[in-house]
Amino acid sequence: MKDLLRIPLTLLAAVSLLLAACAGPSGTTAPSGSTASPGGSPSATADSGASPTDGASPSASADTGASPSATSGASESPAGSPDASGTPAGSPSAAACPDTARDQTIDMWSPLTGPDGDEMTALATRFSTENEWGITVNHVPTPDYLTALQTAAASPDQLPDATIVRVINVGELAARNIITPWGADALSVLGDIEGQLAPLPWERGEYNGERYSIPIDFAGLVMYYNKDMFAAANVEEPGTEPWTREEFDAALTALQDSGVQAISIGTLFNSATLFQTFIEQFGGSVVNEDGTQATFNSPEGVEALEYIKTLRDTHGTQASGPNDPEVQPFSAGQAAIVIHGPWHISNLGQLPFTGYAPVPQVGDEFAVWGGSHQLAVHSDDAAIQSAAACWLSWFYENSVAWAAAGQIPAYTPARESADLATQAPGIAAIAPSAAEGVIILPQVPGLEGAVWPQGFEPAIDAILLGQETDIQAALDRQNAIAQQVIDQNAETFGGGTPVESPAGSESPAASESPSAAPVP
Amino acid sequence: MTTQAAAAKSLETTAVARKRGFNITPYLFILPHLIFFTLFLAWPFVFGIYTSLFEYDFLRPENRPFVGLENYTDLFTSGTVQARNFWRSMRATIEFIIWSVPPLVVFAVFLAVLLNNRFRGKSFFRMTFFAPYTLSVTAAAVVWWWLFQNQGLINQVLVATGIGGRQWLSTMPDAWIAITIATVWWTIGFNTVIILAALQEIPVSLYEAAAIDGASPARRFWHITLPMLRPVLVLVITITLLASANLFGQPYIMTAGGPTQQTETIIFQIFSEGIRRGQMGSAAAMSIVVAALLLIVTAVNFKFFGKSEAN
Repeated sequence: MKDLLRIPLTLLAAVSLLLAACAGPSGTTAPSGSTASPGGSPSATADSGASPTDGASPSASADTGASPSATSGASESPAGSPDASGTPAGSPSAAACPDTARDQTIDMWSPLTGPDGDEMTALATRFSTENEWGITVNHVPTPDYLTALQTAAASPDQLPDATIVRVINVGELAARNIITPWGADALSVLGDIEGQLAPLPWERGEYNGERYSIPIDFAGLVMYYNKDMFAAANVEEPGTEPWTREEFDAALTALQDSGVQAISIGTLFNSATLFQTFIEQFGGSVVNEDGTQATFNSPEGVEALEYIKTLRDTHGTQASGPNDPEVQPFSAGQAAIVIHGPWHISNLGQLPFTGYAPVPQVGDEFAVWGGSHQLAVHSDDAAIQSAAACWLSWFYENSVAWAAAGQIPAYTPARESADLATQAPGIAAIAPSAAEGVIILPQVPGLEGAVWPQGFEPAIDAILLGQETDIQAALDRQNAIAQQVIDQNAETFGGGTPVESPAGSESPAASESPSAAPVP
Repeated sequence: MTTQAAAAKSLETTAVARKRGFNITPYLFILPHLIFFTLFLAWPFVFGIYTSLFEYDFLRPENRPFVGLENYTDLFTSGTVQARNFWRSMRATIEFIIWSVPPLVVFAVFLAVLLNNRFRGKSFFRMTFFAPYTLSVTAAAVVWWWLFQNQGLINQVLVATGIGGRQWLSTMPDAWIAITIATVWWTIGFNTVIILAALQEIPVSLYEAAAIDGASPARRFWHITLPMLRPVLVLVITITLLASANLFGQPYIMTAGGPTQQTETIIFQIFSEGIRRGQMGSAAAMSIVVAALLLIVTAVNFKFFGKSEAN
């Protein structure tokens, strides 16, 4: 009898286990939580201002140890001193900081979990001690920040006051009521800032006709090259002007002839960003202007993928997989070139031989994949927003220090400042070209997720890894899938979603339905 | 005699009382578990079913249309993104189960038998094999990500020994092998400890009798150890199967689901759909279908392998 009973009991136990694992939407987040919390969560570290699904976790957490000395050292010297010595009049915008902003404390999250996060913290601390209005900014680097924001938004009063967001997430964050548009009061603190910021990053901070985020920086791919290998192969070092295709091809050939690996190309993030760069350079685009159509199976898309395939087959490594393994041959002194995000400046800059240049222009016009960090607010409280704006205008004046952390300042005077070349040579090399040609997808919720991990990335990897050979067919198939996802997203978030819904609710952060509570 | 009879009688009466009236005692006993079960298992499960009937985004209460069974029919309509992703990741999950369950059970039995012997440093080895289990999945996966890099230690050893390196994390089936090795290293200690405990329950007299009859160690293993372990093995296999079906962290960190989404498991998929894409309804529907399938697998497992326990 007893034994007979035991079976259903054990079954019940098994079922409980099972339920724990699979039940409901909340059940699925359990594993994500456990993986996301430590510093090395993939999306957290590849800090591009965009968040591809693949990321750079372990390598970047290794970077973290390597570089703070360089960046924090740099942060103390630049423009800070004149500002610090009590000349607020020096920055016209700062003078406009309103009384309401006084003594506000701003908790600010960011996805900056690498060395750039340390630099941001240093800047926030400096601002908090130096500013004359008693404003305090607490910077909290938040791994897997999107999940953290969603979670915080699900329960009342958990969101911070402001968050540095990746531009690619702005539409979705806005559509899901996580961020609030900047109000007129706060924008008036910044004055005529639009004319002093890089145009495209500024434009992409707008969603549904509202100003949801303000760029602090943007990023573009950097061509890292090994100066010693260039010298040995008699290749002239590039300047801030992008190489032409002829120069690029000639250099690759010369480098290969000199007996080194000319360029290191991996899969996932590396090839996906190259693809977006080249398709645009060839005159195409991964999506149409308003982000409603996937268009990467165009002739330009095929040409771009063919080009990457040829580069990789001729010169490439067998580097593949997540976490940027393609950087390793370069840092080990085996490969002469790697084209990657500027966040690698902090570790590759430690090497004696690293030089920086813009991505070559292999097509008719220059373009480079990029991202942008932007400041968004979660509260429509004018005092908080104004204080955040005061912090922002101080930040702009000091953004050369931020460039040293590996991002291109959105603030044009900082980008054109003579200090940039000394404080951040890598950024100075790519800033002029990237300001012209940076590619940032249109502000459509979920667009990057639709076209990148669901779209071109599987096609690119299948071709590069030799699982498929028909480039057109692979791109056609993935383009159709991406289109389905885009259409689903449009249905969900609506081209036709009433604009007033985010703006209309008083506290968009707090979800109205308490039934949202069980989600972690 | 009299006391026995009295005891038997009192048992009878309580049994009768139990049949006739309501006895709260057993319910009080299960109450603590019941509370947690309801709160953290039953309620989310029910809520999950509810969620799956909507296009559900917990951050957009103003836009939450009821879609009925559409989230389910999407999974069974060929050509939809959901069906494509769901069945691809289902296939990946089954592949991983096939890769991982045999070594996780066989090596655990092997290790447990070894550790059950008497030798110096026994506790040290028991601890050593269990130690990785205490790591978080992130730590374990990152360690193995490093080891399986193209320029990583494993490839360097393979090259040095003349076997030649492999692209572990970006070719198939190498990615599964790498993930399986990482998983076995990480979780084998759990299975080993359970089996070890069961081994220690087996009466020594059985082995002594077999030894007197001249049975070889191999025969003793096949005819005593394994049959005696059977009930525990059913449990271990079931738990391992469920754990493998819930694979997420290792591919998330080691392969990012690659190469070309071939190691995107079902939980990975549910995470992407629900958390990354904010399609909670569709993700909940996937969860429910997976839960139903796993329930069936578990029931079958107990029915076929658990038989002798019932006798």
